[in-house]
Amino acid sequence: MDGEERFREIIAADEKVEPGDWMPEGYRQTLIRQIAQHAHSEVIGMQPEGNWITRAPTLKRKAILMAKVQDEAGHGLYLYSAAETLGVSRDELVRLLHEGRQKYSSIFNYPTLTWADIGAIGWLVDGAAITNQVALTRTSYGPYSRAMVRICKEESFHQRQGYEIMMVLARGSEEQRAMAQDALDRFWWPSLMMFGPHDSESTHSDQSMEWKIKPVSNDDLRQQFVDATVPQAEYLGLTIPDPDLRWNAERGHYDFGEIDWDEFWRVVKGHGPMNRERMAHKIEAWERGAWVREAAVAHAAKRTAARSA
Amino acid sequence: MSYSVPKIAGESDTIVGRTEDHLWARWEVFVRPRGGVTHVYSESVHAPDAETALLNARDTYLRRVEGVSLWVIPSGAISRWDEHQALPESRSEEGSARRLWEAFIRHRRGAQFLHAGSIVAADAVDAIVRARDAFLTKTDGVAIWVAPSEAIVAADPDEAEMLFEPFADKGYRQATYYDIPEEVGYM
Ligand SMILES: [Fe+2]
Ligand SMILES: [Fe+2]
Repeated sequence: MDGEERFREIIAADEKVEPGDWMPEGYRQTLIRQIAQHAHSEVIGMQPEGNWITRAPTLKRKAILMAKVQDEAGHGLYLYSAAETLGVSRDELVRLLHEGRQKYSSIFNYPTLTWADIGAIGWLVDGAAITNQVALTRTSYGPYSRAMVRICKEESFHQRQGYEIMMVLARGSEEQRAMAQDALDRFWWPSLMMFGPHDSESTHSDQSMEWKIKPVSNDDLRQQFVDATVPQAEYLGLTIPDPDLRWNAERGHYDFGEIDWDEFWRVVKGHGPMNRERMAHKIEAWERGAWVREAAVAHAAKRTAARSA
Repeated sequence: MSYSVPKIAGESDTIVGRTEDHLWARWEVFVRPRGGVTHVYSESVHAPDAETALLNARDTYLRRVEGVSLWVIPSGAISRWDEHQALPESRSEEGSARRLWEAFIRHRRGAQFLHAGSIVAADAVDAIVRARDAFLTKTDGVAIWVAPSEAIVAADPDEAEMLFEPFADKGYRQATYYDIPEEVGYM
């Protein structure tokens, strides 16, 4: 049996494709693009939350936030490691991000203006990410699927700490409740945008679904997220900023309003509130760390030389 | 899809070639979790030396998993075989210079490599053949990795506490630390 036949057989049987297997170049490119984008998102995603580490309201919240941000760094590393099994180096992927040739999720181009935003991010942004990532544990590429399993085990903590922040604020003073509502108002629509364009618009979707890279469509995932999140907002006594949101008994799902796709494309094209700042910070951190990376190599070489002398 | 960033109209694909350049070498990580019977492959890290590789591996793969043993192996020291490659039928002659190898098996697609045991073999191909004969049944085993035993760098048992304990008392890293009412659904 030739490689191509075997590949088709593996996909048809819902088995995992592993690194040594023959795969179509398009499959490889699609995976690299998606896994790298996912990895970059985890890494850039540290910035909006990192912004509040020094200003967390208590020592406990600070420790929690540090642990969460450290997890996100770890998620980035799991994913770069998975991408590397496709024969591309981690340094190359970092270079492509810095040159603007690979992207990261637009959600991280929104600012974190108040402490309530940290709650909203854990609840909504990690919540949307979980919806995506749980589906992706079934992706056809073995290393990507295993990275998703590892990540999903850690995400529950992220969402729960965020929701708990929201619970405390929602039960708090008038001012705190207003702060929680404001964070929900600003993060609701960008969170729905995380699932991407409508299925009817996504050009890559069909091939991706055929290869089983992507097991569930954008619109289905978005609906899942809305259905799970509405009762959570109700419990907090907060209002989701969508006048068209209502339960549809016939469908057994919530109906919801249309995303502002102009805003969506504006941010994707680089004109969101924080695009420039996020990239500038990322590149600066990379450049500033260059001497550390080089010194570590020099130190290792020196020790090897000393040992063999 | 996950963190979906669609293409802008007219945007061309960035075709990603094959690259291996990396300032820091790649190390493959294996963890034996508490209560686990064997070392399980945990993907890779990059590091300038073995010591840093162990620390990076701990920070990346042991933030919650309770490990009792941690191995790192330079990626280049591993010889890899999978079902697509033909293997010689017979082992090499007894009596040739032989040394100790560690064998790792992926028993089925989707599963992680597990440390299967040690074998004495003349070279990498011989080690793979012997690992196949020793550890694989006819129906399982889709891939084998072998590495000379001396290439494995294990975390010093005396430093185990330093490596594995720091995260034990951080209960707030666990989802169950947060009291979330059941009526809001699974979270
Ligand atoms: Fe994450
Ligand atoms: Fe997260």
